Amino acid sequence: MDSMVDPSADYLWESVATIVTRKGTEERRPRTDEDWKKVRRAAITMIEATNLITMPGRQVAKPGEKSENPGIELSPEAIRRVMDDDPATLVMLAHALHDAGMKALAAIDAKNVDALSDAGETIDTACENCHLKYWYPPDAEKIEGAGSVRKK
Amino acid sequence: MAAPDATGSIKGRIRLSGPDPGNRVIRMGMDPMCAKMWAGKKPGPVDEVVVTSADGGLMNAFVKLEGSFPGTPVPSQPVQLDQSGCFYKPRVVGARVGQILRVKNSDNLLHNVHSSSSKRNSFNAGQPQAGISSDFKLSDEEMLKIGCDVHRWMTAWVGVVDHPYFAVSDANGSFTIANVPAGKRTISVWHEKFGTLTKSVDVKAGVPITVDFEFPPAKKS
Repeated sequence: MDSMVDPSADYLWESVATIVTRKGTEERRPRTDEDWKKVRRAAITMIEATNLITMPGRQVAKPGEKSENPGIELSPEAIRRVMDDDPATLVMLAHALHDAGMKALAAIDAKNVDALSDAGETIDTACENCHLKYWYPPDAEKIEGAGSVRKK
Repeated sequence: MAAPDATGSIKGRIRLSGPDPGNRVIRMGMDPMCAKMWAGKKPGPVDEVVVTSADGGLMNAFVKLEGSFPGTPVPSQPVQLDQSGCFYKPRVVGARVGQILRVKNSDNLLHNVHSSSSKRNSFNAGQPQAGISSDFKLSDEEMLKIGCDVHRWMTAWVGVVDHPYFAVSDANGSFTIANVPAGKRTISVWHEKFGTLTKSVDVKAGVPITVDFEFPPAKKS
């Protein structure tokens, strides 16, 4: 997530935006062929990362790594357990991100800024659906710190 | 040693050094009812994470004294947040431990009020139409983030504190904390984008003191 999905998604989201400052409004969008090429690379990286996510047995974090916000987000061990408990849902959610990425790719190939922005919202939804299940599920507050188990 | 009722006041200003990073205009297309409320308005719905005055005064920073203090009554009046135009208003508020946070829905559409707490301030309540309000009793100190799962750009922060010595900076970046017990204190200021700064202050009875803070620019926008 930290090395491929997150930076790639950030690049896509940042590529199309309206930023308001005291000096005025800045419209961010790919303008040159090189700009579009860079956005395309980000989309491809994110799409391919969804295939890696579904590979059985992949670790969610480095050995010994702890949650940065225990009590709000699950520990790596707890995330692994939720993934292992229901692999079909993991595949479904990863495919949703894949499909959102493909929507972005189609927009990029058409050099369609509005469609790329819309795809950004679809990517955001796919990301958040996954986060709700694996990162900070609704009962995350019931989890006592890193490495602990979920209370039922 | 100061008398137990000897108090002073702290005022100051919070500034951002460097350029205004700007705020993103939110695309509300995922909920046409939100988008409709902003139709035709320029520049559109801005996610006001960093609000600065012309000379860099930083709004919506939460200022508080660190440490423990003699007990004072918790206000019976609730602290209020409104959901209006698919935003929380205000974005940052302060509240006491034990005080009620009242969140109202002024939009005639579904919001839910979902806190992200690492303490005992967890809640999640749906509000399907205008006029509904929900009360939540705040139990522990923390900077409590509140969001809406339906409209993920919606964010509010509640600084929950176990004493009354806190403030939220205004549009000029200014703040005042009154009736502070005299003595050496640590004062902190938190901003959602720029993090936390602290300073030591020596509060003297009847003497207003000034403490200013300056946040460096964020490393990543």
